[in-house]
Amino acid sequence: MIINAFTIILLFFAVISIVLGAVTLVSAFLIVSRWKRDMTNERRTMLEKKAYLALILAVVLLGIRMINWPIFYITLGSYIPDITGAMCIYGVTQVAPAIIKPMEFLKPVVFFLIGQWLIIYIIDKTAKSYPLMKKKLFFLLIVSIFVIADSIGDIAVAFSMDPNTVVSCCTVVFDIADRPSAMIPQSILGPVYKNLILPLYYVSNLILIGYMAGIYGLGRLKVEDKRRLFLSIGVFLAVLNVITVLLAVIEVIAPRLLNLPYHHDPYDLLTEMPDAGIFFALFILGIFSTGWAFGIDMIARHDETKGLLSGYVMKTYWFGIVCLLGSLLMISIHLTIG
Amino acid sequence: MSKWFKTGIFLILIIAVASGSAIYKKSQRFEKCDFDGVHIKPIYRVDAILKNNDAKRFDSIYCAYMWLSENKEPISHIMVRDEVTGEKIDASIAYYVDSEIITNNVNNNRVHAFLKLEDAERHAKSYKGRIVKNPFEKIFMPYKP
Repeated sequence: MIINAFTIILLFFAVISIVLGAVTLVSAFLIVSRWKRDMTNERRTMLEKKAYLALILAVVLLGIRMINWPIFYITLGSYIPDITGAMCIYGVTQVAPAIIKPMEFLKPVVFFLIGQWLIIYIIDKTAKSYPLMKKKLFFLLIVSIFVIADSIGDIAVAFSMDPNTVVSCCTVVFDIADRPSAMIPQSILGPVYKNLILPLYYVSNLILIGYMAGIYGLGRLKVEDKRRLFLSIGVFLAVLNVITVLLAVIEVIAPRLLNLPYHHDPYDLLTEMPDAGIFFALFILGIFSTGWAFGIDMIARHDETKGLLSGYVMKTYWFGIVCLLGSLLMISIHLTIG
Repeated sequence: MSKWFKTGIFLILIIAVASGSAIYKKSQRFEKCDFDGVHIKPIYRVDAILKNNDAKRFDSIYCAYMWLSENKEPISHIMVRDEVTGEKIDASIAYYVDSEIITNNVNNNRVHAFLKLEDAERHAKSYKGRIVKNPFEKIFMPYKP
């Protein structure tokens, strides 16, 4: 184990999260199991009062877990000087890949679920009689399980860091000629793929932003009938955009921003570029917004929330448009000035 | 405040942050390896001179080898450093030793370059090494006009 300030913060957040997560999980389970459709108003009020504390706890817990994602990478970055062979965060992930790799997939899922739950929580609070209380608590039950798993994972990562481990440099993965990020586009686009990836990056981002802005501006999100169709198209475009952006970052953007034409490691951006965390965060928030908006329409539909839903869907879309635009602007500035 | 105003302020902030960061990054003038970005220690530096007189610099023989085996740019010649004097020498006349001394913790390069055979032998004897062939021989044929 490597102990530094970041390890202590990571462990502190993890332990707090496990305790709060367990309390939230049990409370949510008890309330959901007692919640009956035909219960009396008194019984319902009593359960809602009990739920109040659980929900406050959940908001604190989920807030902590949302900022945990960047802290996780900052902590991994702080281990670089202590691990032989590690030049960047990728090298640190090779100390315990069996634990860290699944964690790298789990973190975005947890972040997405937390964001979705918080939006549902706000919508329910805005409505008059908490119409989404049962759904909200059931969803909280699921989120708590993910949060506890994520927190246990953080502890496992911290304890698996053996400073005596010798790892290989990221170049043996990202810079080999037959890396998947080069082979796949090469097989589709031919040997000129590198010239096409950057234009594709812009086209894909502009299509997504344009689509989101289009259905926002034309008021398509206000119409309940076809809203889900429009939102699912948004999710589909976002998924396509993620693939394009990943390829572009590995193949073109990272080498250009790092001033290393043959080095394709996106992890290096996090340690070498002072604002890389911001443009990645904006991109992730922008992409997740399409999913959150879709999730609002899927989960929060109720007679009482009818008037509210379109407003929240639109706000989420606007937030996504601004974030994606911000990320695109930042990368464009770096490509131009750098 | 309207959402347009807030968005405008946010985007202006974003532009300022990105411009500041890009200018800061540009002002950093460390000597970095063209293959893996690691800072170059002068004694282990390797230069690949291109036919157009541009040079690619590397922090180790390993990085130079990896770069040369992947890229197709025409190379004029390769310069390595004599580890005893730090003198620049043509890679084709250097002696190479593979020993237990690691020059670069990132890629575990153990190959060392020397101008004189006796220096190479002394290093090999001291650090459980052996004299090896020019590692660039297989992948790079010197340019002949």
